[in-house]
Amino acid sequence: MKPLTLDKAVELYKILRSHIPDITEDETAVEFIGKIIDSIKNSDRHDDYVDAVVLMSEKDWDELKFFDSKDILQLFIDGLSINKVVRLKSFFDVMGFDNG
Amino acid sequence: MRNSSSVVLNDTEYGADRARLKRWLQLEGIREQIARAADREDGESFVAHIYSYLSVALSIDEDFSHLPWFEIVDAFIELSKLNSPQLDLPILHASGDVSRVAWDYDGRTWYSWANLFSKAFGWTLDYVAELDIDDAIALLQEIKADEQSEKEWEWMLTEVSYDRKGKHKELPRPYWMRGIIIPDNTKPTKMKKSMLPQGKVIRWNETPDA
Repeated sequence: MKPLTLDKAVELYKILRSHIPDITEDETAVEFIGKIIDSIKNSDRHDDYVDAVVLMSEKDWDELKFFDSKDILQLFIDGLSINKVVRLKSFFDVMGFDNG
Repeated sequence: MRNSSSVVLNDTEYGADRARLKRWLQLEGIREQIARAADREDGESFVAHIYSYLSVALSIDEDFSHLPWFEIVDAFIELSKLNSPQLDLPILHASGDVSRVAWDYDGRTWYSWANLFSKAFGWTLDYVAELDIDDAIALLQEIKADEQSEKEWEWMLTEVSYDRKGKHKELPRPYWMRGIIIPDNTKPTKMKKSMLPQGKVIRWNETPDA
């Protein structure tokens, strides 16, 4: 998996911005990602999870739907890590994308 | 103050000099477009203008669209810092609510600044273009302050600047000339008359009569 280009990073931000919490100092990466997944689960936008995985992995859903759910979760976690998701949200928020 | 910096893009180090006035105005124009695009959530325009900012700031014409987003953002932040004014001038805190006039066009800001400096100091376009950013903004503030003083003088000489009772009405000053007003949130405290000081009150800034 490769880091996203800027145009794709904007798309990822738009998908995940409402699910990314503020990070706290004593929080582990697992807890942080867990919060993102909980937010998606508890929202009425479950498609955000699939959309984010498709975008970050550059794989079609037709291909991904045959993957084991654990493998899809791993793609999601790897994608968030490679794309420095906390910095991503922070940058686009600061630039004024946080009105939506 | 840093006059140069460098950024790494695609494993290549690019040197950048702090922009002089003409290029800085171009960069500020692009920054405005970036802010507008973000406000509209127009990702395509936002991204295009970020690349444009890098090209102008680095004076290169290369395609960076295949690079990881954080490389682009790191370079953008570094170049924005390099090209930020260092002096904290009041005119920089002026309200940004400037309505566009009918004869406006892209790039007019440069001609507007060039016109001001040429008129005030008789400088050539080439000379104005190479002004240091802080010098240019400080001089702009002085020109605007002089203009306001002249307007106030002319206003004072007109009949309309006085009310019926002959009291002078001051010409409103632009926001940046009014200074910082700290709101007074303290509530007045009521005290009993019996608790007020008796006799002649001598204040700290007064000398008692001998």
